[in-house]
Amino acid sequence: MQKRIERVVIVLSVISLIGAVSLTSASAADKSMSVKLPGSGGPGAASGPGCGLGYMLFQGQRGLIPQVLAATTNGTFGNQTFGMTTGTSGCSQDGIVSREHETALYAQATIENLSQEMAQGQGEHLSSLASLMGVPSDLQPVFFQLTQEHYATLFPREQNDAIEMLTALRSLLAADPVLASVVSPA
Amino acid sequence: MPPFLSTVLLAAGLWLGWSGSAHGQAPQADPPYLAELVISARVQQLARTREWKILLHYHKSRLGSVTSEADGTDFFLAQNGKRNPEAELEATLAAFFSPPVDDPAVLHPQCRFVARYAWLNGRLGFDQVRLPPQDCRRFREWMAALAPKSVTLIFPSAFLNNPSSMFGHTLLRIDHSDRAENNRLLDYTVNFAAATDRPTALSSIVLGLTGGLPGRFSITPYYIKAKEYSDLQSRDIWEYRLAFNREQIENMLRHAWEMGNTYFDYYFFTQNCSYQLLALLDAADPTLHLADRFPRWTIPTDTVRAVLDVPGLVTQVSFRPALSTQLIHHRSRLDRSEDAWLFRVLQDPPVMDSEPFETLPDDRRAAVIDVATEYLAYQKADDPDRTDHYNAQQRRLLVKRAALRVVSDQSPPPAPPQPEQGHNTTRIGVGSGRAAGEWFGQLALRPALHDLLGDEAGYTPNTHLEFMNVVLRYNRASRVSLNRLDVIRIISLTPYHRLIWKPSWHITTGFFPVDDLSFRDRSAPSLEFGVGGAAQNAWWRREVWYLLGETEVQYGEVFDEKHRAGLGATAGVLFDLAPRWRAHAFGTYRAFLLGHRSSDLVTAVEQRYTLSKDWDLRIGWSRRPNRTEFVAGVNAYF
Repeated sequence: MQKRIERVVIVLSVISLIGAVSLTSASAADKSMSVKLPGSGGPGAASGPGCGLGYMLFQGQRGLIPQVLAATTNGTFGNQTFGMTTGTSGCSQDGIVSREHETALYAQATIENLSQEMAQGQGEHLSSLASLMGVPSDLQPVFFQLTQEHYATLFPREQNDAIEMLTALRSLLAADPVLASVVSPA
Repeated sequence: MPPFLSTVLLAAGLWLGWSGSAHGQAPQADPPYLAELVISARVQQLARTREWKILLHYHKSRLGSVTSEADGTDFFLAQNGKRNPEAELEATLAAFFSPPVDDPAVLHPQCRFVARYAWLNGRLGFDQVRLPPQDCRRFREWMAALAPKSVTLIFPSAFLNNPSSMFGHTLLRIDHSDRAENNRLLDYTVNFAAATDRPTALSSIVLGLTGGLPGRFSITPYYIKAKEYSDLQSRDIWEYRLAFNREQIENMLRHAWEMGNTYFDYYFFTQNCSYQLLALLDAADPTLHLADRFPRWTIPTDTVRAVLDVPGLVTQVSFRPALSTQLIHHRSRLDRSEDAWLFRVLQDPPVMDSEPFETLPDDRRAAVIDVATEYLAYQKADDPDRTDHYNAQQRRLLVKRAALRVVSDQSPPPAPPQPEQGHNTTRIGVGSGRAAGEWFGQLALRPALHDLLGDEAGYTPNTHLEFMNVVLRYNRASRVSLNRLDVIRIISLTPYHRLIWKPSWHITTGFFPVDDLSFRDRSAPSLEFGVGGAAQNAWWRREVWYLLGETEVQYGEVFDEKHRAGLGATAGVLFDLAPRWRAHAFGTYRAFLLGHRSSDLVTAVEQRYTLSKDWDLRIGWSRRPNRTEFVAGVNAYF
């Protein structure tokens, strides 16, 4: 009886060891979401119009060991763009995003949330987009309805593209009788 | 000018030259005026004031000397500025006289050190003719862009499966004056973190613990930070609005601007994000003395407690749930049949066009699709390798959802107890018991943080994180012995949820008692690791069942061949009997196959009764074939 228990336990433990090893090796792939900035190339690209900043990555954590150990740095993100008193850096000045890039950067970072909230007809991220585009708060319900109604035009493909969405959105706003007059061009 | 005064000034000028205080830049216009200011500063003893210490981050070291915590050399204008407040102050005054700067990329000292300038001007009253104020355009524009109305302390709390973030984090959000309350995502945050290109590399981890990485301040839009914590790390966020007035906020931001240029050695346990943030709050209001409350280690939740301890400093508390929290809550609001539809829709999106689905009312169909798309968003963040697959599914669902033309009725998840409402971080316990026929007394001390059996209010449920838990016992036979020392003990149980499931696991290292062999009161260095699963139900109140497969290694003279290593498993249940009363029953089996061959089977039941936020009672029994043990005691948290 003792030997049988031992055998079962050994099998269970070997399985757990394999599980542990595979979890820690999965840790090699860090979660990340890429935010491609307008007018930029791949990672590290410095030329071209717009921000010229390349990719910014959200670093998530994945796997066992990084979860346990990664918090010593608690995530720095975009230190160049958002460092205060660092002067001009692509699309920001001393960490403040310049007005002409503000909406595009916001839309890029939050495209996931926007794609959901536009379909749902409301949401905090959507409201902030409206505010960035100059929609006054009393007209926000009109904005929400507009984006829900024309959802398929704003997101025509499976891969969400914030710049594409913004271009389509601006055309829609320009064509809307109520919103065209109040929305700012940026 | 009276002759006496000019003599004094001449003498002072000579003295300045001899005292050897190094100037970063040679004073240009008006050396006599500089001398006047220096004298006035010395008379007022400005270098010894609290405000100057706060601006320069001076602290008394254990040996009594004064050192600044800032480490970037650019932060100091005097050669010995890091250790000499007087020299630094005088060098600062001298630097203000520097000639105007043409290059907009370079900041004049008056504009680099705006807080020092503002404060010194306030105390000394600069003559604007003799010390011309520079136009600090970059700073003015920065402040205008921030346009602060209030400041909010942001606390991303713990994540269910990420015990490293059980300590939390703190950052500050600068609330813009002209922005609606529901657009706070667009505000900027001030954040302090270690700068490294490879945050998860072992080298970075070691360096981050030991001060080997530079910590820098940055301002990042809140929408990026909220996304990082809420969507990618599944951390609920607490927002504490602070009651600073306009002047205090400006003082704080002037100082933040000064710090943006330099770095501080980052120490994960002591001079970490939360500590530096308290230093910033002290700059807003020097009477707060917040940073002084953390001379040793700094745990973010404790800094939140310190801020809340100041009467009237926190005016409003908000809860921003993580994506996973919202997902679990929204799914719970679907009824049985809707829940079944949820999984059918995820499995096979075309069923949305099927007749049975279309018979559901519009708003219920919308609710089902909302949970499905929220789940896919969570999956995309959690498993980015399969983004394309999720994108295809999600677009289909979202297009259908938009076509329903229904506005979602998103009820927010209820806010759990606030983090500061949990028990305090350090624990001391006194108890007594009986083992192997002998009575013993027990003393336990644990600097941080929380165990599975402890009261969960304010902590992430089903997690256990302990550092340096020491348990000493005294009995007649062996006198004082080390019963156990958990250097690190982490347990993360994630109960099964059909949408969110991760393995449960634990790791412990330290000295474990060697109770199964016939020795008395011995403990041996050990390492233990386990992986498995957990499940939760609400049969009585709340029960969490778990099973972990484990390995263990021990080393010590007591063992044949000086070591033993083996495999085993632990199965247990955490059982809430009443709001303040929890029990934990478990059994552990070990088969040590290498080294000192042996096997061990222990079953145990322990219980905790909460007396108050910072007091609890514990009682426990454990049983082995050759040894029974019983312990009872009381814990205090402080």
